[in-house]
Amino acid sequence: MTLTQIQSDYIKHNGAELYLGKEGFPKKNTEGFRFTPLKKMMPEKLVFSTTHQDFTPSTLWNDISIKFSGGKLISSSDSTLFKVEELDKDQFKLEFKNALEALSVLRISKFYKITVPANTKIENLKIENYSDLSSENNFDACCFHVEIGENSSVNLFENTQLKGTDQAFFTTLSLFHIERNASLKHFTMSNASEQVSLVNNRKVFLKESSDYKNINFDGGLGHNRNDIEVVLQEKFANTNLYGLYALKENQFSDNFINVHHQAAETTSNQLFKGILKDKSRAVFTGKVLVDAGANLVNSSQLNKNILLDNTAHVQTEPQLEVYTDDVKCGHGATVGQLSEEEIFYLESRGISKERAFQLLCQAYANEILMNINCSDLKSFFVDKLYGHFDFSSMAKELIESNKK
Amino acid sequence: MILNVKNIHAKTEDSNEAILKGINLQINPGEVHAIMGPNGSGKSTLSKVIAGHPDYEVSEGTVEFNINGEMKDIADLEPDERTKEGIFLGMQYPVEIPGVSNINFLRESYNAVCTHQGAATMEEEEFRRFLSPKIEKLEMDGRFLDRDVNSGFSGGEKKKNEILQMATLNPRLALLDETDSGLDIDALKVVANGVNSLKSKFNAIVLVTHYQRLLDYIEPDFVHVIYKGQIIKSGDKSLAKELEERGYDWLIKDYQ
Ligand SMILES: Nc1ncnc2c1ncn2[C@@H]1O[C@H](COP(=O)(O)OP(=O)(O)OP(=O)(O)O)[C@@H](O)[C@H]1O
Ligand SMILES: [Mg+2]
Repeated sequence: MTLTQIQSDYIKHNGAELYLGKEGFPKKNTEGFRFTPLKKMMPEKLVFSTTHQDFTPSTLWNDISIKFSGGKLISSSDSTLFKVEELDKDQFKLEFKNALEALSVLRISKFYKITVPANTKIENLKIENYSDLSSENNFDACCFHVEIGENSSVNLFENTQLKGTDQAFFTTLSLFHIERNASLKHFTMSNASEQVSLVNNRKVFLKESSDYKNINFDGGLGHNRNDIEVVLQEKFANTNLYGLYALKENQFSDNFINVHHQAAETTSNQLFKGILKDKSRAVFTGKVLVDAGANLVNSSQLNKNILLDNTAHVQTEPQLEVYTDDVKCGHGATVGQLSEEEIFYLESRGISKERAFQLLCQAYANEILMNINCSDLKSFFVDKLYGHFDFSSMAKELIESNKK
Repeated sequence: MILNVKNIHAKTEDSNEAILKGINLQINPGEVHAIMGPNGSGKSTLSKVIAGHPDYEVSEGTVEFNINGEMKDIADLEPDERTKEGIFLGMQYPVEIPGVSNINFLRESYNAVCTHQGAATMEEEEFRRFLSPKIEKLEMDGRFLDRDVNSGFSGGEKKKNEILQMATLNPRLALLDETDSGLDIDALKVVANGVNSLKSKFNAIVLVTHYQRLLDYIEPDFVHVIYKGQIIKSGDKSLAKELEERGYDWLIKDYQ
């Protein structure tokens, strides 16, 4: 099925002719897509995957979990703490920003609604999102809607595991409604066996005094785009968005963050850090919009990057749109290298170059990882980071080049 | 012998001018050597070359270190390998490493050296017990262990942390580059006592310093003066006293 067919198909199914008819898929000049190689990310011909086999979930947080394979629910723990419903996609109420976002809904026939009732505490809930795109079926999607009731607090680990080739494409679309006084800590990680492309679209709506924290780790995907919109709808709502991307070879990571302060006295904080090697590339676009009348808003945004060699590349674009006077908005961006003096200091204490690289990368990432308040999950993230780069050959290369 | 520096010439990669121009230095176990000399004469460079700092290129000469009873050229050893063999460099400007806790750093360092030397490694709890008397001796606050390496430490605290690392690794050759600068009078005594208690007939200490004051506490067997990358004078501890009184001018004139 070609993109054109998808578009007409989409029009038939969802009646969003206007939008698609005008713009269709994002182009280079679409806001937030200037540096996104969408053509490279999306295969020309999308073949819907139909197999939804079982898989091995990650080793932790298996007590309370929800498993999706190819976007279909395959199991969910029996628990009084939450409820999972399968709903018709017509009931997925959302005004789509672009066809890429709509694509997930086009693909699925059912979406899932996960409801956590009011006054509930869940220490470790996990969503496993798996898809095998290694055969000729190269496209799949998953849609879900999470509602966290008043005064509830949830730790949610969303683990996306993809199998496939560099022609495979997976999209997710998720909605989160967080009610008064509720809080969600959302830990997200994506892995793929090969250089699969993944687009995550997420929208989070926050009511009074609610809190949304996201700690995301990207590593091991071909192309990854996180398109995250957080809407602070009522006063005292807060969001902290932390992202860590570790990229090598031709990997690409693109974080497009859109924080919308609709109400007064809301706060937001974005911290995105990258470690890049080889010909990898990262894009960070952080947009903060403060509505008129939303006074006493406090918002900060920071993007920091470390390049492990000079072939990697980053682009940062902060965008502030503020329609009121009484706000505090800060932003900044840095690009640097691992410090040679720090490496030598560690080495002069008997620590090998390889280990020094590891320690310094972890130290760098620590500013993000320290926000994971669950030790098992934190070590899981750290292990993934360590496993991502071949520190041993990096050390050997440097030793060789020093000898020359 | 423990260290034999033979006619070392060294420069940085992007410069043609040598910083070290033919340094010779022999050090035996049990000895304390003081290295003095005006600013910019090459004292820190010499210590870093011995420790294997990648900024410097040795264009001539060799550094030999006693490994298992034999003097070996260490040109091919990486900095960490030199440390594992027993060389320790206490730095003039200790480096801050945000994000790495001091305790993990010290333990990682200790375990790396122990593993190489065939000694047992330690778990955190045991290691804290092992450190505790050393911290006390250096009159340090135990809370430093749980802070990031040197991050936000005062000048004197950083220097004490260097000596704590030396005490942890128990090296055969300690090169202490201006450990005394930044220490107040009481701290200087404490650190000197710490260093003295680590002294034995099996190891050697090189003190790079500008001041006689440190040498009042740690008595050197030899004093060397470096000027423009060469040792222009060696003597016993009385040389340091003379320098304190007369400065370097007379030596430099003689040399020229
Ligand atoms: N990495 C380097 N790059 C460029 N120049 C260097 C480097 N290291 C040392 N030098 C130069 O070599 C000379 C010797 O420096 P060194 O730090 O060894 O002096 P020092 O004797 O320790 O001085 P001080 O008493 O001020 O500490 C100086 O002129 C210094 O600027
Ligand atoms: Mg110096």
